[in-house]
Amino acid sequence: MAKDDLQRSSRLLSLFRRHPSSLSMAKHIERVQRISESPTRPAAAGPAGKFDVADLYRGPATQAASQEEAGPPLDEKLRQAYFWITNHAIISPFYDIEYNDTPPQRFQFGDRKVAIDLPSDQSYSSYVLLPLLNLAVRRRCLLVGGPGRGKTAIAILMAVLSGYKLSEIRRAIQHGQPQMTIADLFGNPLPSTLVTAATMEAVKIGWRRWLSMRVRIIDEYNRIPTRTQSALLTVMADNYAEMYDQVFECPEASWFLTANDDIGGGTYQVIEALRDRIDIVVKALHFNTRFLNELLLRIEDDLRPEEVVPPQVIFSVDEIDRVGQEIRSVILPPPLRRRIEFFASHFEFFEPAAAQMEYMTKDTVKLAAVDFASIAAQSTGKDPLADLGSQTRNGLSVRSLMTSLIFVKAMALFRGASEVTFEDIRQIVPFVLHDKLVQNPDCPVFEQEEKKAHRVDRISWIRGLFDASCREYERLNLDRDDPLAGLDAQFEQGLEGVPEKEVRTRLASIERILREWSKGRKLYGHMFDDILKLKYYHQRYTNYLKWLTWKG
Amino acid sequence: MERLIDGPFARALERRRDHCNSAFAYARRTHRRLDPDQFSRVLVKSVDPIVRALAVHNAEAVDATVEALYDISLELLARDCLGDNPRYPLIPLAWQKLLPAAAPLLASDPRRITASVSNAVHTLSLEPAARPVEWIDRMTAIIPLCTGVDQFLDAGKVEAWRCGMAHYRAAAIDIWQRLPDSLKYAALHIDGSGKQMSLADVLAGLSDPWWVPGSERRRDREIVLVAAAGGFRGFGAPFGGPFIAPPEVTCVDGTLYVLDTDSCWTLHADCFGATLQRHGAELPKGAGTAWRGQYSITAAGKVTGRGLGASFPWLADSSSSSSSETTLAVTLPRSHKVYLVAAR
Repeated sequence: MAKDDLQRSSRLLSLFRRHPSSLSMAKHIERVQRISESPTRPAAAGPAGKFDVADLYRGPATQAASQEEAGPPLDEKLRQAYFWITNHAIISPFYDIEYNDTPPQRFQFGDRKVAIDLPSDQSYSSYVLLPLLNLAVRRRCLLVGGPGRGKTAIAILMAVLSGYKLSEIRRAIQHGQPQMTIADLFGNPLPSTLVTAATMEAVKIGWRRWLSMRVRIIDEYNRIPTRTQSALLTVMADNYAEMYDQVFECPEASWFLTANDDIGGGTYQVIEALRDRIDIVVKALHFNTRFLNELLLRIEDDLRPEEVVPPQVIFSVDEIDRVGQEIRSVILPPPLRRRIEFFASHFEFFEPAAAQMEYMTKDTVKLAAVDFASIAAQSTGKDPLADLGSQTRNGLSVRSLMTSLIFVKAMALFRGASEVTFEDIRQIVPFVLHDKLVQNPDCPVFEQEEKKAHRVDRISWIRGLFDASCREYERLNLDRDDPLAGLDAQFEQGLEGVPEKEVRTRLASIERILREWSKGRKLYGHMFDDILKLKYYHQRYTNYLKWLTWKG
Repeated sequence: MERLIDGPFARALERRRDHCNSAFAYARRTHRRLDPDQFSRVLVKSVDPIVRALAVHNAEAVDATVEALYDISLELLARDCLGDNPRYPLIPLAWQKLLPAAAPLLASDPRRITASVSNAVHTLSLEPAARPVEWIDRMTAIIPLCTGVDQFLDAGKVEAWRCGMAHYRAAAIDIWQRLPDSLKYAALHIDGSGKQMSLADVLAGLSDPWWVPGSERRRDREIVLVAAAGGFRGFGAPFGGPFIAPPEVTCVDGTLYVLDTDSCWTLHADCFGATLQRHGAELPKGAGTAWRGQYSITAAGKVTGRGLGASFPWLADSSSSSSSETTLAVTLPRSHKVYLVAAR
């Protein structure tokens, strides 16, 4: 054997023998690397399939799913991607998004009786699931957590799942740093055109590649200077970049931003408008030290999960588009929509804020730049422990409600359902509202021993708010006895052809409800929205009645 | 002495070192028996020739192709489909013969072609009536006529039918009609140079499953034994059939079904082969209703149909018989075979 040949041989074998101990080490591992060939959420068996000539090309060698003539349903593909990541890529042995089909077993620990439930149905790690749902719905996800917890790693995996090459992804990551300029972010004018251009339109911009990608990663976004943050805002909010009067229209994309803390307190304060564009916040959970051996093996085997993402879990642009369409077509049943309405109605109402009911909102106080605490101190006689609205300093924006709806639908689709379930809402809403609901730390609720942790743990706090809202909803028996349900149904039929007598009857019933409620002594958020909606109906019917009278 | 990897493959492995290392390490976590030496031999024997052939046609595509070939060869080795003692020895043959020949097409979609070819040989290897070696040879021969991957894979489906996968017949004829003319002739192994037979004639001839494409359509047809399918399941090789007991046949809506004490199969047969596809434990709905096929057999073994007749004394006292539009299936009380008789 020639010397050169020997060298080449040893070089090749070194690809597999980086460490002599790896074979024996590998013997201790029992994991499944492959994508499960069985359904990830088994359903009832369908009819036996007929043979198909396309079966000729199905077998032991894996094809990219999009290349198979009939790939798995997209929800199944999403779950395959999820399970591949949790089993082989990201060490995230947590099941903090819990589902149960029978009551879970509960164990309590310590003096504070800290509880842990063992879910009885398929449950998930938020740290992997939520970025994946964000990829599916093409929204903006903030990954928060201390350094070295894998925030960038999960963002990179999402880009790989979108079909980008690793080298391309690494070049496209925008690393926030205090000297970052708009040119760093967007690109530079071409020097030749800068010299020769007679008008601004003639200046050509060399736009940065990341702007045209379907996945955009901004690492440590809270280290970007404020001015550059404003430029970033235009891309995040409106999907275009602008320099020298030149505009670059960006395609729809999913965003992944990282920050070392979740209040945006990096080198620069994150501007509020930018923070408001974040749709979902995901916390990087701690490393469970019982999985140190897994880390050891990864080091020894030089494993790089992002290098070996199975082709069958990589989504094409068309597939992501179709996932989005399928998510939008998931049904949110009206009784569950009412629960969301009821929950959201608690927070905006703020009685001391104004004299006229429409302005009795927390936003009024904010716009007036008045100290919230001083106004909140004015007694309205309400029990702060019962009034869920007292726990926040703001209400929910339209954007946050829309985001909640799309993510609960995505959650339902991920679980292979065509309808949203109650638990989908309960599990997802805290992550969407994590940065949207601003806690009122002065609320006496947080002085209670069992609620003190909610000052820090916002996920549990918001889930607790949702649970309390649902208890109140049930106490008021709103599923069966919603005073507005009949009026809503009537109004949805339209006004055309409704006779004058019927209009007067409806007006009377609206007034009757308002009269009834006016006998009560306390006004709560859900009543505030109901009252204003009754006023809205009353006005619509009044105008219609006037028109009928005028028409004769 | 074993040959070593050098040339374009060695250089591509160097460039894709991170990927290759991680892929191997991951595979070995699942498949603990995965042997690096054996994998090296797979790379030398099966992958290197493909990369060398590709480098001649399209050097720029080498890296992406190497990555796909590396991943799939690793996957196939882990499943004992490549390597020193593969469960399906014809898969390595396809890698060494067909895939290097497919190099002009490979660059456009290496993973798809490689996986499809491997899977096709696997599928054909599982079907006792199929002839995978013939499929590899024929696919190797038609590559120069294929202008794209889709065309190549479509031709592969037609060739699979041509190589014994009788159950693909209807779908394969549909696909065959969409192929370009030159491929149409080649796929059915018809000499198209003199255009002695028009494509319309071929299509008309294909309405008879016992007509061999390219052959003259005889007017003086006679009833003959055209095929025998099945066999005793027994204890595996050398028996290797599907039936645990002598089967019986019936015809439901024109499809022949075969039933033993355990299971039910559909029977598909034409001039290229006869295959049995497992249907389930029971006959489909509608079984038992009268179905009049074209042929019948008497207790003495005389077969009549389509105005013809022939005697098969050894088929006398059959345990069951049933006829479709084109074929009579007969079973005997002491045989695990299904005998097929038709006019040819």
